[in-house]
Amino acid sequence: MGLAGKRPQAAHGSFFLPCAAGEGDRAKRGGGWGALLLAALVAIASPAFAKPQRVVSLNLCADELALRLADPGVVKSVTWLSQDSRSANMAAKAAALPANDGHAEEALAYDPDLVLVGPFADPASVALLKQVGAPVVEVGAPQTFDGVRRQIRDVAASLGEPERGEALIAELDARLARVAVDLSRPRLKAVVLRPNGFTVGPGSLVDEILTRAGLDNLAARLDIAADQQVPLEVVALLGADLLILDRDENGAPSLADAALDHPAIAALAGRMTIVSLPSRLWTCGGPEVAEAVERLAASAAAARARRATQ
Amino acid sequence: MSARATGAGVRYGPLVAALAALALAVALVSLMVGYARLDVPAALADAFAGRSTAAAVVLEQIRLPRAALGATVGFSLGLAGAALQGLLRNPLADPGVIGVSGGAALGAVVVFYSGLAGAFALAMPLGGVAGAVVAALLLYALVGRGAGTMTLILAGVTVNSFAGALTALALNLSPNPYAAYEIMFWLMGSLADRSLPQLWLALPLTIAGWALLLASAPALDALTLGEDTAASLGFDLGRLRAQLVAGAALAVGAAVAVTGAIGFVGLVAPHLLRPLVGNRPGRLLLVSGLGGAIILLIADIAVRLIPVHPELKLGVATALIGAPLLYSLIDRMRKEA
Amino acid sequence: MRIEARGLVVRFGARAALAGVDCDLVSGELVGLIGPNGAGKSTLLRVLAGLQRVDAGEARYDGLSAAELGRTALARRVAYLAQSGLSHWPLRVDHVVGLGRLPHRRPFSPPSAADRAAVEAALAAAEVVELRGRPIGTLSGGERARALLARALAVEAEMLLADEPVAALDPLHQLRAMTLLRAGARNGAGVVAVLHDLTLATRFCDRLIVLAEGRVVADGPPSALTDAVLAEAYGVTALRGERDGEPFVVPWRAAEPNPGN
Repeated sequence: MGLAGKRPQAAHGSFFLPCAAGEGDRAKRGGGWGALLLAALVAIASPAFAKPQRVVSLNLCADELALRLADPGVVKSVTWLSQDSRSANMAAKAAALPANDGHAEEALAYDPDLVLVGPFADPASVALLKQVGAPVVEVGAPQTFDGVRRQIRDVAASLGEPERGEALIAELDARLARVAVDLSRPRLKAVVLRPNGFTVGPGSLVDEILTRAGLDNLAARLDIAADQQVPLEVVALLGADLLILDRDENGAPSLADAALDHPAIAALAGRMTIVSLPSRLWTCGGPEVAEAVERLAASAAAARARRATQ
Repeated sequence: MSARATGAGVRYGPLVAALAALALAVALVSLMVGYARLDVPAALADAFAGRSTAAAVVLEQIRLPRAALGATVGFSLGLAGAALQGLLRNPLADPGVIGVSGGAALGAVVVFYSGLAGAFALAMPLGGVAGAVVAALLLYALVGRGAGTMTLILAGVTVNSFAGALTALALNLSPNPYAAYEIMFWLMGSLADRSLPQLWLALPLTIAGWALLLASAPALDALTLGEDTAASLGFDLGRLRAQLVAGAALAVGAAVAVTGAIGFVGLVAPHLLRPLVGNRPGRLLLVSGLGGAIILLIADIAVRLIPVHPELKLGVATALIGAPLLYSLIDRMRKEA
Repeated sequence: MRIEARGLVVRFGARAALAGVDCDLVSGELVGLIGPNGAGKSTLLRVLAGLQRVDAGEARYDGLSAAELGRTALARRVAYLAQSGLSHWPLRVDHVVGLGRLPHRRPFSPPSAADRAAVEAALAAAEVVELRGRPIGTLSGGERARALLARALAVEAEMLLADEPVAALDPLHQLRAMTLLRAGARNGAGVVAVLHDLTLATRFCDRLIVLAEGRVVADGPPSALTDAVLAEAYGVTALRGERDGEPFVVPWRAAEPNPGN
């Protein structure tokens, strides 16, 4: 699938949040920005390079990595989204810092020596930052575990903390390794339901999380159209063992979120195990994906136990 | 009174029975249409036996509310359209055209996205009703009594523009990132994945609206000859206006709160069926309601059969039929003037 | 029925449409309400029909006010025929006439035998029987006027208040309609008709009420329409005559302004 004819998924794609659960074109973008990143790294990998001391992050996912990897006091400002524990993983640390709205002009106020932006940064803003001499590093939305590891390495390098990056990756891998998956038995069938009736297709990060947790993503078998919206009827009749509700937990209501509360889903609880998976665990493709895998594996085990008793 | 068919339409009783039967038939077809292959008889058997198989759940929780709401909302829109046309003595009146649906959508949006509906479920349809009432009052203030077609249409455009703009504003102000993109649902309407609880919530207000509107039949007949003659025949015009505004607001407001604003049903149904009741506004009410139910159910079947993703909004289908009709009606009225 | 009106005042903005009008109407009389344009004839009729609020004065129906009488009773006993002769929807003539039975019918019950009989009688009296199946929009102006008159007759009210019932009719139908109204009065109904034709008024009416500028200028039998009254109310002089014992009054010339007024 290419860029042509592909519409953005409902909602995300705003300044802070990466476009969620897309495929194809996301990978392409990841590749392009990877090259830019490399160039940036080459540019700053001179002997005179010192660790940035004033880092401003204008993107939710960048916030998280910056807060994990940098020394306290180095990060001067993060986006307001990080301060909400429902939608962010480092809310406690983020709350202590001044918030920004993701605008380049706000970053300038801190005289930054590193600015982290998201994948849909306005080119004009990026140009503005470069003009004043602030290095800009873009954080993408990785679609594979390898992509997750690569991103952690890249951001750690730009912060001047490569060892911490490696440590974070090691921790991620350790947690993944601890997840016990019994591959001798057939994989449980799972389907993910996202706001607005979207599901996740093959080749996306959530798909890989499912696989890693020992589940079989039924959506990969469906002949769904490119935008991956699945009618509720179809979800109900799939015969899945596990239904994963992927919720954006931001508190304010919307029809898209309300779609996950349809009574039909509750009525199906007798026939399949239903588990909620907060989007914040995987939206950014950060270290929290390990927790997503852990939770799903546990749910799968529970579903198996339940099936045994039925 | 003579029952000759020419000019008097067809006999009333058989007409109502035929339309009701047709509505029921189309509703049954609606139950059988969907995105997944569903063995409807088996699902019915499961549902009646109390077995909650996936098929029974799909039938009971997804398809049944869709068909029931299609019939209910269609009836409300057709009935309200006929009533408004009788009150305003203008065949172009329709809850969508004159802005009542737009107002209802605004009311529902404010209640839902502010979180009020989460606290108190009935707030949703009540919000729709409140929005509809405000829109109707605003329209009446603009149109006054006996205003011509031009004034009516312009007043409707005004109310719709204002309500639509405020709806978009309210959606953009919501902190939820999906909200801003949901305007298409509110302004064009959809029956997709509506639920039984939504049907039960809307039904009491809707039925109250139907009662108020249907009770106005004799008064609407009298209004054929103008306000003075109607008053001289013993009808309280102030009370009639209040009754019709309240009835339309209840029926349309509760419907829009569940499905968004679906336009043109209240325009097309009365127009098509008026000759069959001899142009009598009182008899048109029930007939137009049934016609509206049939039209909306057919439109809803069509949007599910048309292979477009995401599903076409219902308002698109009804507008494709209704807008050309509106154009031809205006053209005809212009020529007659 | 007896309608008594005392001191009726109706103001529209600064203008007084009725500036203190007294009149008595009783069943069994055909009363002609005449006067120049803008004299307040339509307003007076609307007040008597209970359609117009007054700023002063009141009208009583057999001693009761309109509120005491009740909306339905008033509708059954007083019929009103509007001046504008419109029908917003193209109903069949017999259905239009049937609307006159609404005050008598219970809502949502079918028409009774009495209702059907009243409609038939009204159609016959207004001579629109052969037009009964036609949509009213396809009728000529005169035919439509007769159909609407039939609607008012179908109410079978004790008092009929008709605003220019014959203005749109051709001479033959004018004569027939006036004969009909007089026959109705003889039968015990009361009829008040706004008329512009002075000859019709003097020939057929038992009584004339002459209005000018919101006031009653004359009230009495047709002989009360003297030259002085004609000059004061209409500002015209007329040719008068008689034929077969019936008078005719033909407005002839503008009256000379009286230097004394």
